[in-house]
Amino acid sequence: MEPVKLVAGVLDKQIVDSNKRHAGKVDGLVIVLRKGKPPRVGYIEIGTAVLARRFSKRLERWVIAIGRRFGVRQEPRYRVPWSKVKKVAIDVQLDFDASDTPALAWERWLRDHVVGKAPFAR
Amino acid sequence: MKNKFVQIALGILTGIGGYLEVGSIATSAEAGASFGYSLIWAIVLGTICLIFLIEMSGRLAATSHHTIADAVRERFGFRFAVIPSSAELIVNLLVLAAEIGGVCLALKLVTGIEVRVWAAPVVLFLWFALWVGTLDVIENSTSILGLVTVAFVVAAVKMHPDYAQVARSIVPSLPHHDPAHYWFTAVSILGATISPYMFVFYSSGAVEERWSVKDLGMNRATAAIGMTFGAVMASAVLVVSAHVFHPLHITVDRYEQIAVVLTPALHKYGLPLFAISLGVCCFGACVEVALATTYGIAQTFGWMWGEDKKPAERTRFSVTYTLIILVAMVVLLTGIDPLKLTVMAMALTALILPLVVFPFVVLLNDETYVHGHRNGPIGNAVVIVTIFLASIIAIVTIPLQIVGD
Amino acid sequence: MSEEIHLELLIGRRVVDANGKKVGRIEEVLAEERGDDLVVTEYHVGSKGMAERFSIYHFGVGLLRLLGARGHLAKATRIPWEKLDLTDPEKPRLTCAVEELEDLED
Repeated sequence: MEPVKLVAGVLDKQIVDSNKRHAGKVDGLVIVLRKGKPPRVGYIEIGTAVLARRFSKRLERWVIAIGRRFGVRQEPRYRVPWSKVKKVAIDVQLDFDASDTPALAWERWLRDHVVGKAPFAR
Repeated sequence: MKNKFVQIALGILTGIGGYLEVGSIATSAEAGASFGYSLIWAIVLGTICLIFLIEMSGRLAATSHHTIADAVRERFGFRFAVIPSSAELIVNLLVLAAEIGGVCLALKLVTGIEVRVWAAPVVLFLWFALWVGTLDVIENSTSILGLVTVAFVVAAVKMHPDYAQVARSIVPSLPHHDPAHYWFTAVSILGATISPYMFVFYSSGAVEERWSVKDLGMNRATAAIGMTFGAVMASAVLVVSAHVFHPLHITVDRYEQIAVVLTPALHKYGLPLFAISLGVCCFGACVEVALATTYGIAQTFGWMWGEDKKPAERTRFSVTYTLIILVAMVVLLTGIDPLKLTVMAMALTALILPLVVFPFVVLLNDETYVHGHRNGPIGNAVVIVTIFLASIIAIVTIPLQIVGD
Repeated sequence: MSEEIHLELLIGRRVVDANGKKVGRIEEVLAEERGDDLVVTEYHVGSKGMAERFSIYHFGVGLLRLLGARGHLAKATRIPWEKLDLTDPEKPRLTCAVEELEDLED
């Protein structure tokens, strides 16, 4: 099997769900260390807080604080287990429908509270 | 998939209507008025570079199925991608404000009603066009209406230009007078011509239409022919301006001055044709800049972004362009002089070109993206040299221009 | 006891060997499917230097790296998974001396 390049081939790639909807990018990748066994790729992480952490921990805390005040998701990070990834090609394809998941929470919220209320939106 | 000839024809139309906008008109007119034919080389150099860049963005889309913003984040990481994205966002907001100003100016020329009064109605109409319209309808209508800019070519021919001198001016030359202003104008022409929003827009359209390797030839033809037509239009503006203003040593400080540029050649049709040209081209540019800026943000963060979707299907995208348009309107309403805003936005575009374009060029040389369709050495050389040159000249001349004002 | 590492924070971190000698920065991580899992097989480490050839292109690529851009490596050192100690993810350490590793030419 071709080895997978986690940085060039997975990190920061577009995520697409089973309905071909764009569900964000691979903002983070969690590797699980195991004693005596090779580390395994555990989860994809999605979220602004995950991106903020790449700059600094302080920025991450700030983003989480703002998210708690004004945000729409309960948790600042959304984790997708790697087992739910169907295929990695041009994008990272998930094997489930992401429309009701936190990945698309803002899309839903804006649709229900802002955009959906405007004329000709649908 | 559209018929090949229709595709190329549309590309040409987009080149004519899409290339010429308030930036090209203002900078070409200023160049002609202040320096005669001398700065035609800036239009030519800018266009050659643009042709390569447009072709490259189409090729990236066709081979990698990624848009520019998407690929830049994927290849270089988010921390880097934020840098060119932020620079582009700021400059694009200024450009958008200038383009909206152009539409308002066109309306002022026809009605006499002040620019600031038109800002809100124009922005509302723009928003509505984006909200309800599909890309095809908007692009095709602005492209067809944009054919009115042929009036500039007609006017240029009627003024019996010295074609030999025009041809000689294709070669870069040094200024005879006022070097700081000469180079600043040259750099603003480069920024007006090599507009990143054009190729961001182009690559997004190409991905949405699912271009593949078999579209590469058509891509090359569209880029070359379309942009060349656009360059001819811009050169016509320069030539007409050179004939009307240069002999009288009139420097162009206000748009109202540029507006009469077609009148000597086209008499009573001159002003209305100028107004219509300005209005249509700027509106087309408004759509492109607003969308391109939003594409950049949406694609960097991985949101839904397809243009031919309803607003409710891509809410973050729709809310973002709404905010972008509003901010641009606020910038315009500060009362800043539209001509100064335009020329400065063009110069700033030139300044940030290396930051925005160089990562893109690296992608086009990366096998993992373009799969055997890498850039040739000429393409690399022309683009890299032009953008770095433009930026260096901008760094030097922008402060001088600000101090001089 | 398992511990979690964030890949996006790991890349760019400097690796030192068991003797404290600098090896380079982690720039790529390779993984393979084994059964139901995707497991890490090796880490690629390169040195972040300016390019050898002097040309505008390489100068620009060097500038990009200065601005934090990731990139493909001209030359990388391969570290098998078991030889990298990640108990402190901010300070990855080789479990051996750097000379004991093989080189990778891209």
